[in-house]
Order: sequence, then C-alpha cells, then structure tokens
Amino acid sequence: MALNPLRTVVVWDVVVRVCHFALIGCVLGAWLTRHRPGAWHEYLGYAGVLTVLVRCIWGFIGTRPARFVSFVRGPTVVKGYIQQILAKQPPRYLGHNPLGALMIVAMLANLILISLTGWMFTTDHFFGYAWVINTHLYATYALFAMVALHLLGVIYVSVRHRENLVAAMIHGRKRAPEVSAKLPPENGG
Amino acid sequence: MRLLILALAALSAQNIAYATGMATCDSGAPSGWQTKQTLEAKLVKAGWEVRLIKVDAGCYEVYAINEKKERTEAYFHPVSLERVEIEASR
Repeated sequence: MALNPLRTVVVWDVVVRVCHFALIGCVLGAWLTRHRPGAWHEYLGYAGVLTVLVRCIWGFIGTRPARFVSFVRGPTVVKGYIQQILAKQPPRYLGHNPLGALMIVAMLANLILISLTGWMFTTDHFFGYAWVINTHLYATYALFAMVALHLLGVIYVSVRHRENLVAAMIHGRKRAPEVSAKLPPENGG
Repeated sequence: MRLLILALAALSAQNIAYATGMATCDSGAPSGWQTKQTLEAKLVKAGWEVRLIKVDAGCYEVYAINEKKERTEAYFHPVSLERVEIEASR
C-alpha cells in the first residue's frame, strides 16, 4: 500500500537508515567470514564498530527521533508499555517504542562488546585465549537472539498498528499521527 | 523481511556444523590420540607460548605465540603431532 505523502512524516533520517542497514551487512558479512581469520572479517568488524559509533554520536546530535533522549525510557515507562501490550492496547509511537528502545541500546552495547573482543584477538596480549574467543562467540549468539526478538517486535507492532515498519526503515516515512490523538507518545515519539 | 528471516534461519542451521573447514585430520577415535598436554609440551620446548588447544575436524587446533613472537593459529595431527597445513588465511 502506497503511503499518501501528505499524510506521512519523515521519522527516520538518512543517517539512521544507512546505519541500520550497514550494521545488518557488517554482521551478516562478519558471520559468513568467521572461519577466515583474515582481512575481511576484520574489515567488517571495523566497519561495524565505526557504524555503531556514528549511530551513537547521531543519538546526541541527530534529528529528533534519532536522539536517545527522545526514545530511551526508564523502567516505569517500559513496564507500563509491557502492561499495555498485555492488555492488547499498546499506544502507537511515531519513533521507537520503549521496549524497542531498550533492545536498540542492548544491541549497540553488545556490538561494542563483540567488536572489542574481536579486536583484542588481533593483539599479541589477548590473542588465543579461550575467554576472549568465548566472549566474542557467545556475545554473537546473544546478538542473534536479540535480532530475532527485534524482528518479532517489528512484526508485532507492524500488525498491531497496521503499518509496515520495515518499509518505514527503508524510506524513512511513517503515517502522520492522528490529529485527534496528540498524546505524548505520538508527539514525542 | 522474509528474506532476512530466511537468511538468519540458514545461518543458524549452518552453525550446527562444528568443523571450521580450515583443515581436516583423518585421525580415528580420540582414544588413539596423544594428549593435548603432550602437544603443548612439545610446542613449549620449541619456544612457543601456547594459549589454547582445541579439537577441530579431527585435528588439534592451537592458538599460540610462536618462537618468533608471532600470533599463530596452527593445526596438528593428534596421532603423529605433525603440523597440518591450513589454507592461507591472508
């Protein structure tokens, strides 16, 4: 279904979108090259951590929905949102919802841990130790579990609010909030 | 989206295979192998600082700093303890 441009607003700016898909590319690429302890796995790791850093900086200076302050919420709000989901009445957020926000921060942190332990393996000091390999490996498994939950969340919200969140992350636009529903979640995102 | 899910499913299935494909040793049952400790002692004697010995596709896979102080990932046949060539990694 094509979105009517008059009734849509740009939510995800180009930096957010490029970072999002660059990270997918880096993670999949690094996974596929994991048994080639050579240039490509390392380049993809450096590209990944660079992308994470850009996204984190953008989380302070970027457009409003990209900023951490606009979407990271405390436990009370997260708990409230979970209760709203359980009551089958989650409010629509124009930007990230509080649970999605939690997952984003967790995935970014995990990506830093994975990159750090991967880089450590290229140093004489940390090369070859089981705990470095295992941290790198299990953090990666945890990342894939997080990705699976992230996708489940995306599917749930897409169905719940009848909007294609995957498409929104590609073109950046989402349905404008209802005029009658100028509640804080719709406004602040 | 569907593609992404399929890709992830394929990747997780692939992960079940344990061998990394770097090298394969036709070494029979582990009961006939020399111990990791024997291999480690041999390598230490040759000036290596052994950090980890794992089993991969019937071989011992060793992570070490070699006698030239280089980071080294090497494969050894667990019966003969001879070094097994791996494909060039760089």
